[in-house]
Amino acid sequence: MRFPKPWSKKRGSRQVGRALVGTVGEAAFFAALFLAGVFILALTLAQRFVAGPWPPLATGLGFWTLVALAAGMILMAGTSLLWGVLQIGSSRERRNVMAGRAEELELMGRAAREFPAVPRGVNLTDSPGTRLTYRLPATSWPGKRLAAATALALMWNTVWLVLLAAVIAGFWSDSPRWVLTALLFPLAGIGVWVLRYYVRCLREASGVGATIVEIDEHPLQPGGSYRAHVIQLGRMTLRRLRVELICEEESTFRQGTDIRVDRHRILSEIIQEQYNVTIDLGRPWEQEFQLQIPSGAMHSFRSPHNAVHWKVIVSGEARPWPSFCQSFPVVVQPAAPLPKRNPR
Amino acid sequence: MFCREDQRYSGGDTLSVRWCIHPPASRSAATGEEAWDASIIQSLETSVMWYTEGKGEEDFKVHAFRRYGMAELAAMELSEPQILEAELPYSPHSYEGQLLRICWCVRLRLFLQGGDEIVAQHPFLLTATHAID
Repeated sequence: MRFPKPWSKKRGSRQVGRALVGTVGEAAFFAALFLAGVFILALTLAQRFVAGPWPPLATGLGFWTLVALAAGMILMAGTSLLWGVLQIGSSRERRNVMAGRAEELELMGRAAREFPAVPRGVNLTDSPGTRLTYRLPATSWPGKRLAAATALALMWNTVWLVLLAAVIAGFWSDSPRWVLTALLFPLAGIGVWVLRYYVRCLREASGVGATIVEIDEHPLQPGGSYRAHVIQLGRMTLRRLRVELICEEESTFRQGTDIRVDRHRILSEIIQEQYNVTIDLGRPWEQEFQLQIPSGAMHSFRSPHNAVHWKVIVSGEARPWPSFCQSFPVVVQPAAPLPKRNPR
Repeated sequence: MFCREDQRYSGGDTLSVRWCIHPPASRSAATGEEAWDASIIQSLETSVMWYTEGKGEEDFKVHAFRRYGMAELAAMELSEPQILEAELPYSPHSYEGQLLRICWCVRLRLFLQGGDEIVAQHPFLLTATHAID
C-alpha cells in the first residue's frame, strides 16, 4: 500500500505526488510553523514584560534573536500558507486569467494591446530624427564605462591620499606606522593602474563619438522595406565599419541558484560594410540604406523568461582604440490588417 | 476536433473546436446496467492559450478561458460534442526556434472527485497570412 505524499514536487513538466494532497500537506506544515512562531513570540514577550515567578528576560541579544526568529517564522509561514490556500482548487490557467483581468483593470482607459506579447517600443519613437522620422535609442550608454572608471579612479586615489596623510602624521608625531607605510606602495601601484585605465577610457570616449541611427517608420513589419540612416561621429580611423540587422532569441533560465541568460542569433544580415574609414570631427561617416525585413520572419516577442529581439548593430574596428559596438533595438510587429499609426 | 483540418489559423480568425468527454462507465447497483458516471467530474476548464518551450523557463498566457462548475456540468451532456469558440489574437505566432518554441493549444482540465486532475491538450498553429501592403 502506498501512502499519499504530503508534499508536491515538480520534476520538469511532471508533477510528483497528487496535487491536492501535496498542497494540503504543505499548508499543514506552514500552519504548524506559523503557530510555532506565534508561540515563541508570545513566550518571549511574556517572559520579558509579564511579571511572574520567573526571572525577567533581559533586553539583550538573546531577546532580539528570539523576536527576530519568531517574526521570521510568522512572516514566512503566513505568506506561504496564504499562497498555498489560494492555490487549492485553482488551476494555473485560472490564475493566469485572473492575473490578466487585474492587468486589464489597471490598463482601463488606455488603448487595448493590438499585439499581445509584442513589445510596444514606445520609447523607441520618443525622439524625432533630423534626417528621417525617428532617432533610435541605443541599448547602452557609451559613457557608462567612462563614468565607472572616473568614479573608481577618484575613490581609490582619494583613499590612498588619506592613508598617505595618516602615514605622514605618524612620522610627524614620532610614532611611524610601518605596516601602513609598506602597504602604501602596492596601493599606489593599483592607483596608477586605475588612473591609466581612466585615461584610456577618456581617450576612447573622445575618439569614438556618438552613433546615430534614424529610421523612417516604426514599428516594422515582416516583408517591409524601410529607410535607415546611420551617422558615426568622432575622430578616428577605422579598419572596418559594419551595420547589421540581427534577430536573436533570448532565454532566461535557472541553473542551480544562478539565473542565466542564453542568446542565439537566428538572423544576421550585413547591410553595410566598409573598410579603412576615416572619420573627422567635422566630417562624420554617414550612410543611408534600406532595411529589409524578411517576409517569413518571426516578429518581436517578449514574455517574462523568453524573447525574440530585432536590432540594428553598428560596430567598428578602430585603431588605436579598441573596437566598439552599438546596438539599436527595433520592434517588428506581425503583419496584420490594422490601420497604421501616424508616425508623428 | 478543430474546425480546420490543417489546424492552421491566423490572427483575427475564429477558432471553433468541438470537444466531448466520455467519463468512465460504472455498473448501477439497482439495475446492474453500465452507465456513464459524469458525477465524478467536479469542474472543468477549457482554455485557448500559448506557452513557451525550450531552454528558458516556461511562460504561458491564456487567451480564452471558461470554467464549468458542477451545476453547469450536471445540465450538460458531456459525451455529446460541445463547442468552444474564440477569436484569435494577432500575436504571438507559433514559432519553432533554436532556444524557444511558442506553442498554441486548446487545453481541457478536468477536476475529479478526490482532487485528481486530467489534462487534455491539442495543439494548433497561429501564423501570419496577411502580406504587407
